[in-house]
Amino acid sequence: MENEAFSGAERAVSLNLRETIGSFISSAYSILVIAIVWELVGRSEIVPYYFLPPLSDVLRSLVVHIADGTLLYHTGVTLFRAMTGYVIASFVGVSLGLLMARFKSANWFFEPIVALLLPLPPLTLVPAFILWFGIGHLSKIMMVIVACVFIITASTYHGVKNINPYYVWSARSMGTSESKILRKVVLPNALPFIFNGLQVTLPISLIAAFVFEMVSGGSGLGSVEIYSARFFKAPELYSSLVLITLVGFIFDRIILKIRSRILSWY
Amino acid sequence: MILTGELIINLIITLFRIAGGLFLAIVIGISLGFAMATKPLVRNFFDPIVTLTYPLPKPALVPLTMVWLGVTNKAAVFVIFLGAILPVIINTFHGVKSVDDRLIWAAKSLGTPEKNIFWKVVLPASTPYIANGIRIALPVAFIVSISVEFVASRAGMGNLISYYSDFGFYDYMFAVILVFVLVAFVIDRVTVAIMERYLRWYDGK
Amino acid sequence: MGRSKISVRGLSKVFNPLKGNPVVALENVNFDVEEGEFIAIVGPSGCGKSTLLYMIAGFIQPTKGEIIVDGRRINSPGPDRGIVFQEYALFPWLTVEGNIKYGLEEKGLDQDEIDEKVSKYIRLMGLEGFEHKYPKELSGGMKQRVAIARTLAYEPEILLMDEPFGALDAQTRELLQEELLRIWEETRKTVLFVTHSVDEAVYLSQRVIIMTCRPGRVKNTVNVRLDKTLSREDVITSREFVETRHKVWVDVREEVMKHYCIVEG
Repeated sequence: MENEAFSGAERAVSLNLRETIGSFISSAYSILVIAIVWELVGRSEIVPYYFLPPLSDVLRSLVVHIADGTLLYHTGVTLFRAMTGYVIASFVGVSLGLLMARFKSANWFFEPIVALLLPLPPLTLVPAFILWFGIGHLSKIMMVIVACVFIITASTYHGVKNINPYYVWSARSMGTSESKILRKVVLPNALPFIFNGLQVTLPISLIAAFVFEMVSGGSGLGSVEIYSARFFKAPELYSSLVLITLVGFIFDRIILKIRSRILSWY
Repeated sequence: MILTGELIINLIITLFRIAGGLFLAIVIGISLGFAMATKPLVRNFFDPIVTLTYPLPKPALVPLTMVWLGVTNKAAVFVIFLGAILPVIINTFHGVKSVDDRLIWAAKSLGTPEKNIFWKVVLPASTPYIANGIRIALPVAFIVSISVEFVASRAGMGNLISYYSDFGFYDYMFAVILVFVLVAFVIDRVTVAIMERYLRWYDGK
Repeated sequence: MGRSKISVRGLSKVFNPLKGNPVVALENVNFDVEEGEFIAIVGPSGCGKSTLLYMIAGFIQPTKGEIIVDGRRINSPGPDRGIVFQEYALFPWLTVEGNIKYGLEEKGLDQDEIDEKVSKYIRLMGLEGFEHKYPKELSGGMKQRVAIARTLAYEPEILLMDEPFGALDAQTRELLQEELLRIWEETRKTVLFVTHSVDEAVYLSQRVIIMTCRPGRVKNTVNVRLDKTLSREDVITSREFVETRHKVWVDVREEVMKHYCIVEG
């Protein structure tokens, strides 16, 4: 163990810029290869322009549409819908999970509902949600909530239920009151499980908002992409794809950062 | 009656697309996962691609395949394949990587030649991981199939749902949704049951 | 005296020789093992005794020196050396029977021979009734019985055992020790038995090799002369046992204290 820690520290010290660049090239050369092939095939006109425009055109379109604000606007719309739904789903999901784990009556009432709705592919309900909630923000936010909330509920419930009884007993024997046990013992123990739920649902929130936008139109990255595809505006199609991937990537990084900070003891 | 006939035809179409996409994803995904775990050259090439495409919401590929392959069965199968392959690759990779060295050593000292270690030890030892990858790929395939049928298809359950909704047959629409959800649920249960049957030796650690 | 069964000559092993912190696991280890001998290797945790065993098994290569088995320098695993690990290393996807069969099938024996040997070793290790169980359904002691049966069925001339009873409870451990002795008396295989338990080493073996702490070297060799026909009770209360045990214990303790080296690795 000590040796490993030592070599780790040493590695961190010896990490200089040249190594970083070198390791980037050696580890991501396939991306470079693909980028170059993409550009060449696009330029060569072997395939139609709408099929695969040169990478440079895609990047130019990306820059232009970010600069004029349109893409940022649509990204913002998608993010707003995904995040609003996600935050609501997190609050509702965690509270519901805690309630179900602590109170038998709550469990008796909600358990069948969650069991039934958890495996449901929520996107099948898109047309129904358009019917009920229209094609504005509301329907998309509702879809994000439905897609996320039961997963968070289930993981919270399992986190609370999975607690080692010794922890509760030893807390009790040291005189911790029942109300404090929830906050001081049960919740910290359930945290890794809750986090799993939050981690799994973050990309789902994005997918739910995005697909809804693809189907119903209106605004947002999903509608931009499907609109570009319908009208064969290839650079816009690809740049919205690049952007949504980027958003997904950033989401992924953020949740990992938060996780490693909050759950450093786990 | 009209509903039942249409429902069955479209359900079959959707299930065929899912089966086709999943089949390709499983075969190619397992091969790639194995290759990445055992050949550094392959790993170095595909690692950044997997990392980069992993956070991409898979239904976002629907418009792209629509442009490439048109509104066809091929496009639907292809996009389901793209959506389902990543979890298979990643889980296979981790499965192969986590095979205990001692199992390989034990097999070698019991007379298994190097060239057979893969079939005799590595493959059976990583089946629980591969099964898990397939289990994760399954709902992804369902979600992608519904997405592609909503926006870029002339048939299938997703198409039927949006068709009834467009023309205001909401009772029919809900009936189709219900059937699809039930079928997805049953398929998931059956898959899990089959996996548990064949992996009953696995102690889940 | 004839040729040794196993001969370890000037054996050294350095991990990470080219990286920042090379670890010298073993340094210039020398010893010989006669055919049919039961040798125990004891030493503190992390002294490289498992590394030594893995090199004799041919799983890892020495940095310097050589290992000669039956006059041949070895560098890979071979059917002449069977191994039993502490964590059993059973194939979890095979039943008890399947695990024992494994090596026999690799050997290419015909079905009748395989069946005969499987049932023989199932009986020998007391595994009747468990033939169709999977490893996960067995206790640690039963798993280790299967692992020993699997290795014995393959009929290697040398048995390499890496703390095979280290993960078992005290009662199971004693039971399996006695069974191992019984099997050894019957088959007279050459056994190399790695353990950190001084009692176990002295009780089982004819000769105890004591290793120093990192880097691992042979510190001392102690001959054990016990009447193995006696019962366990009589053996461990005999004067010879107590004296030998003390001798080994003093050496091992010195090593543990000298480095206080519980740097597991």
